[in-house]
Amino acid sequence: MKRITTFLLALALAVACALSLPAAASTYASETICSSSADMEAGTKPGQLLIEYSVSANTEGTSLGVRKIEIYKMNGDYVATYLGSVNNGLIIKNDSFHMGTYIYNNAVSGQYYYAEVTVFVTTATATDDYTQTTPTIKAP
Amino acid sequence: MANARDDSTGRYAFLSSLDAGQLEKLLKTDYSGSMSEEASEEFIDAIIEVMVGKDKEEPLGCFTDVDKAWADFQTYYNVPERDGQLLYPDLVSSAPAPSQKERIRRPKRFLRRVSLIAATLFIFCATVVGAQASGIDVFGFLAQWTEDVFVYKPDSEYYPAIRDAFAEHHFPKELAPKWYPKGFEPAEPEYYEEKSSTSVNTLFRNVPENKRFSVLVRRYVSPERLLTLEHQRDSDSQQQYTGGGKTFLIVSNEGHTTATWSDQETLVMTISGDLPLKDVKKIIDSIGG
Repeated sequence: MKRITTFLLALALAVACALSLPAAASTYASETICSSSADMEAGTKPGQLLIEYSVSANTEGTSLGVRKIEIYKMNGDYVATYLGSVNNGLIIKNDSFHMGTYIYNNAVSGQYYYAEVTVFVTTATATDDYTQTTPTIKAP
Repeated sequence: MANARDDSTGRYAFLSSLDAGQLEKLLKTDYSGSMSEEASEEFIDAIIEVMVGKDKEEPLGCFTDVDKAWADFQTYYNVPERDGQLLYPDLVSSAPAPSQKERIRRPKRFLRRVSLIAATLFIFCATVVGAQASGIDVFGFLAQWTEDVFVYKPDSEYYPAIRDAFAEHHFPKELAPKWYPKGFEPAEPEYYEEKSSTSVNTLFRNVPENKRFSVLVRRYVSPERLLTLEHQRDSDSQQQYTGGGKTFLIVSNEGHTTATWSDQETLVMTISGDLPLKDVKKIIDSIGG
């Protein structure tokens, strides 16, 4: 009985340790990109979608941010592409972290969409891109 | 007792003509039933008388010399001057008494327990020394304990500002590290608010060495949103490290180190940049309390 109890406690501890592991880490190594995220939320207006992004650099980037956002319907049908720039706020200079939201207003209410967000970090010696797919969201 | 010699001409006179062996046989004979008890006793006494008489003329070997036996006892056995003492003290001292056997077993058990405790202490000390050698300032950490509270004393002037930034934006204050590597100075903590998450990012720069690292905390609106965050890393480079009550996942990415912790609900903390692993671990150790 004592051995069974000890075994169960050890098993519970092992499970607890495993569950305490942080967020998923890809196996993609990058010389310039440390981490990134891409997400989609329903906007506050009909047909509005919010595409959220973040990118963190290993060191200071000469420029970093979003290279492009490609929007698709749930069935994979291509909808639109938006390129990043300093003017639209998707790209910044001389920094190591950028985070923001791109607002897409042309979605059809009631339809489902997802986006493929390509982030990048360019340093003095290298540049790297990484693409993530957002969850699928119903346009309000 | 009938006197056989006196009865040399009586009914037991024939006994005198028998030898010792025949007389012994007669003694061993069972006379019950063949003659009265009184008669059998008289007969046996007569046999003994004859045997005693013959023994005096020539020892038959069947009677003990009582005087000699007594003299032998006095000589070899009786020790009146040691009255109350053991008769064979040498024999007794060589064989331990049962209580002495138990006392021998107890020292062995005691030695075994002491050896086990000593081995445990040795392993503990070796582990602590090994940790020190690998860069973990165990003794430095222990030295900062206070008598009243088990608290890691902040030894960085930047801690209050970062702690206050966390608190202002409703992040747990205890996540603010209290130790930072020398040579780095922080920028003003930056706050980001998106629909699915809020973040506080503090960038540290070491301008002369052109190095930087950041401490980022983020809270998501739901656990599912945690999965949108991805860290780049070399394959098979991850390790877990526990400090400040938190278990971080540490990965390397093209020579850069990233340490991440999550409560698996809504909170994520990331320490990343141009830091050696030992400094990352020291920052982690200073969290909490």
